[in-house]
Amino acid sequence: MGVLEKITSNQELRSWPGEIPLENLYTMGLAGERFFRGIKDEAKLLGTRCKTCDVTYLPPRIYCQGCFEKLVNWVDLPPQGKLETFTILNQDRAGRPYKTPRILGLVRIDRSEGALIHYIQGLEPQKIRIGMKLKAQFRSSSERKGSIQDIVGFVPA
Amino acid sequence: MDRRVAVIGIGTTGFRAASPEVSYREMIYEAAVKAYSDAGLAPDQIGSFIACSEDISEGTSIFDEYCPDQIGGARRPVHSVSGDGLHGIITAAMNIQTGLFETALVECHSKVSNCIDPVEIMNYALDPIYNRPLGEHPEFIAGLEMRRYLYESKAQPKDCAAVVQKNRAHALKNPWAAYPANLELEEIQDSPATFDPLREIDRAHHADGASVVILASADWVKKNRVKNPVWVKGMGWISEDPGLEMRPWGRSIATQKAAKMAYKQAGIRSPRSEIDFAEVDDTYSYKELQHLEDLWFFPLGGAAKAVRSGLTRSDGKFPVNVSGGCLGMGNAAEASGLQRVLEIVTQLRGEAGVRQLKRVRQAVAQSWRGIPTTSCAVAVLSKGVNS
Repeated sequence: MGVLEKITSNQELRSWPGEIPLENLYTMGLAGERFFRGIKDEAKLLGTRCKTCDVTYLPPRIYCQGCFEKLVNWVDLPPQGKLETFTILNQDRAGRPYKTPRILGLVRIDRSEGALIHYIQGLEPQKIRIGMKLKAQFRSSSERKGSIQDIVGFVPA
Repeated sequence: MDRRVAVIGIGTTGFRAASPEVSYREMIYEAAVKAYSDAGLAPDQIGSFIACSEDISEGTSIFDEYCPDQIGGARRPVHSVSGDGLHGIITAAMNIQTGLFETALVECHSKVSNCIDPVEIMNYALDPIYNRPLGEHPEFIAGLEMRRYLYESKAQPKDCAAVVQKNRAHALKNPWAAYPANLELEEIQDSPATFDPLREIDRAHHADGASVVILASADWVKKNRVKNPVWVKGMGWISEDPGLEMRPWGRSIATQKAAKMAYKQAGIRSPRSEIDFAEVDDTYSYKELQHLEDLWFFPLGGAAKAVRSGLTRSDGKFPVNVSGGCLGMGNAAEASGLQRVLEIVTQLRGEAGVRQLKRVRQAVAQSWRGIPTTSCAVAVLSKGVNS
């Protein structure tokens, strides 16, 4: 056993390129359909509640991961909550610097155990504090398509 | 039946930034030859073969098909684990514990330099409906988590810088490491923020390399008079919550629960006093601090104090990532967990040369599967059966 030889010259190094057009369609399921319809039609956040475990899911699920029972109890949640954490993005996905840094925050939505991750708008980075109250800003009804991008971001409540 | 399992052979190519002169198969073959040589075995003496890999990062669908031959497993019982190397070790140990096999081999490798765009692969792991449409660099998740961890633990960014400094310095004494460096705290703190508070330098760079570990049953160890077995005394693995929205952000619950599971098996009641050193995931500097606390070595906030005081340095009372960790050795994808095991086995055997720790008998290895997961594994490895 063992390697007898290795390539010792850069000029002999070869590689072969390969690629695949990786595209998928992701169905939203029962819970996702209802959640995004709530956002699109009424600009509201919907969660599902498990009374046994005293947990409200956002994003909603149709089953509880705690007791594993089906969830049929849909609740309207206020489109606001507390900022749990945030980050200032100085570059895009390709590593190119942003001229104006973007800010993403995780907002724990009131009356639920869930949260949404979205942009924080209308605040200078140094003014942002963990624990501050923020509310979701929705696009106008004609612009909403039923996706997470129907929310523009979170602004001070 | 004696259900104990020991590591009886290790082999690695070591890790470096790129590996253009070899194919992944040749790289793995080299690590396997070293492991067979270390264990004094031939492939036909292995009962079960386990390879850890992810199709998309390999660039090949059904990558399982490309695993057997370079580890000596062609026409033999082989399966893949789409998990970290530590998940592979645990799977191998359980294979042996079934009684079906006396020996098992685990292979992990990283050939990330073959990926044209590893960021896009990481991005494809994000939830496609709730998170990916934002279109941002997926490491924003590390920025979010780091800020929450610092908030809850009251650790400072400079404590994270101290982790970078320590681990890159540890790597200076590790010939397997890709990123050894002598860094001043100031230059680490001056590193540009990418996803603030995360800095460019807080993140482990990718590395290529392959590692192979051979395990055997207690009966086999006895029968073959293995001189330096390292026993797998406890194992735990947990996956927490798939979504970013319902999980807690300051702590690694998966690590907490996996550690409890492993410590229970190993009969460990007081981890800090019963464990001599640890190799933990430090893909991002703050993760080392978080993981040390969630492995129950320190209370929340205690890991920052430990790194500040030098306690976790190689010459401190509780060395952490003497290997250099992922920050010093390189982020070797699935092979990162095996790097942790390799270092522990090398140390417990007393074969670590210039970085050898004195009087060590028992250690903990911990791994995390990276962004955006909450999947962690823990193993307790021990020199003596009863230590």
